[in-house]
Amino acid sequence: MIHPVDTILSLALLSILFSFGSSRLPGLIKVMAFQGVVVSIVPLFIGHEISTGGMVFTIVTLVIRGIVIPGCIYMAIKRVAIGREVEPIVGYHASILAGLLLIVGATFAGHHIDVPDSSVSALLLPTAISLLGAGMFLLMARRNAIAMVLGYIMMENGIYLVGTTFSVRARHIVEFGILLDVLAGVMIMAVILQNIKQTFDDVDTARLRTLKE
Amino acid sequence: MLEIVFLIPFLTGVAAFFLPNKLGRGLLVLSGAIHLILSVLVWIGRLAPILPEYFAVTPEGLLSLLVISLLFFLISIYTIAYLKASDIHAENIFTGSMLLFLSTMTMVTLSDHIMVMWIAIEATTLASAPLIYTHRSAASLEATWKYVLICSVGIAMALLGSVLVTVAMDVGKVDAPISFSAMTAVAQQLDPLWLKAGFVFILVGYGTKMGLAPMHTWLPDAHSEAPSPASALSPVYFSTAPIWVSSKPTKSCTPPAWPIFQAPF
Repeated sequence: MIHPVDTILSLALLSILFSFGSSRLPGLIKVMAFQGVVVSIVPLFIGHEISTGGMVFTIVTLVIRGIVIPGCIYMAIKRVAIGREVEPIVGYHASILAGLLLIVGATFAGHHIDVPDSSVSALLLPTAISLLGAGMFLLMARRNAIAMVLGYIMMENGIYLVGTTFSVRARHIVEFGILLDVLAGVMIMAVILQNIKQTFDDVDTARLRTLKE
Repeated sequence: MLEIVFLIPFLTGVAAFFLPNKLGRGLLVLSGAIHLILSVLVWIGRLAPILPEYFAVTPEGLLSLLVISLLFFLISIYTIAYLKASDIHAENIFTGSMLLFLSTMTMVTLSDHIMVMWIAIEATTLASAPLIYTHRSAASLEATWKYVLICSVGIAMALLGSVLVTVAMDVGKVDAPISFSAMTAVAQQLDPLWLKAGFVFILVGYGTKMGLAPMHTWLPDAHSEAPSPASALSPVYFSTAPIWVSSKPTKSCTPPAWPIFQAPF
């Protein structure tokens, strides 16, 4: 029987490939919103007992990762950058191929690591590693500043997946603090994005080249 | 009440955002003075934590706290002259961010919980970002962007490392709080493999924030663009707090025999 977590996690893996192939910013933001929702509902299906506090925390995470963060970035770019290309350094087809290789590599690596709680899902660790690697890839292979922020969010999604499922010891108040930090970080990035757009009339980081150490 | 040491600059920092410029300057020096007095009280041992699970006074933390507090007080006096002479567009944001920066730095030095420390360190990045952008020029914008993005990604690595350390506790079947003092006591039982992996990520993550090569690229730009009081304050933190932070995991990691990682500290 296929575990529901496996279905959810394979959706997260699919969203990586979609994000590597999407050339337009609004599409990429929508993919990231979808990924945020998918990643934040994983704890509900893991099989740990869920307290009321855990339920509330999951819903708050869902709202912040799935709605507030993507909405925040969408608002920041609304006027100028809509429909803009993500200015790839690595082309889309090559990106998707790299994504596939990344998922294969992560699955291979995931099977060689001793997981403390192996009853959860065999796909969990590979998905988390893929999300981390894919976030790094977006940061490096796109010149557009917004695509970089989205890469950072993808990395955070991967870490969240490792965090909530492997260690059940952290209290919700601490996890909430982490979530708040990520949210504040993305909001500050959104403000900087707006300023970059106004000052340079573009969000292409190739223009940010005056300072060289 | 140990927490008051970082709560006071936090509250005055939030207040400074809404106050007129002159009041804000006075508040900066006043908070610096109160913070110095409170830090000395911590040194004497008068303040005990309300949440001992998350906060504690440690010798390394106390050293950093006293250095930060003394320098902040001196810098706050200089800042008044600096603000009079310079033409800063949004002065209330500058003073508010300075105070929030002090608050988060203090929280780093006092935190004993591995995740709370991560929260505090990420908060210092966020609180100091507006300081770099004070001059509102294209170059300062570029420096801020590099600083926020590189440090956030780096610190995300440290978060992963912290999670892996908790995994090491799960694998080792250790039932202890995730505080540094508790972990040092049970260090022998932690799983060495996960602990090593966690330490590498923590070193890379906080190393980015410290400006260790090759993760240092943001540092020269940020320092050249930030106004001098902020630039004078941040090296205090960047060079003391994270070194101490990286030494903390090392302390709890020492017993399970890994001499290779001990050398740099």
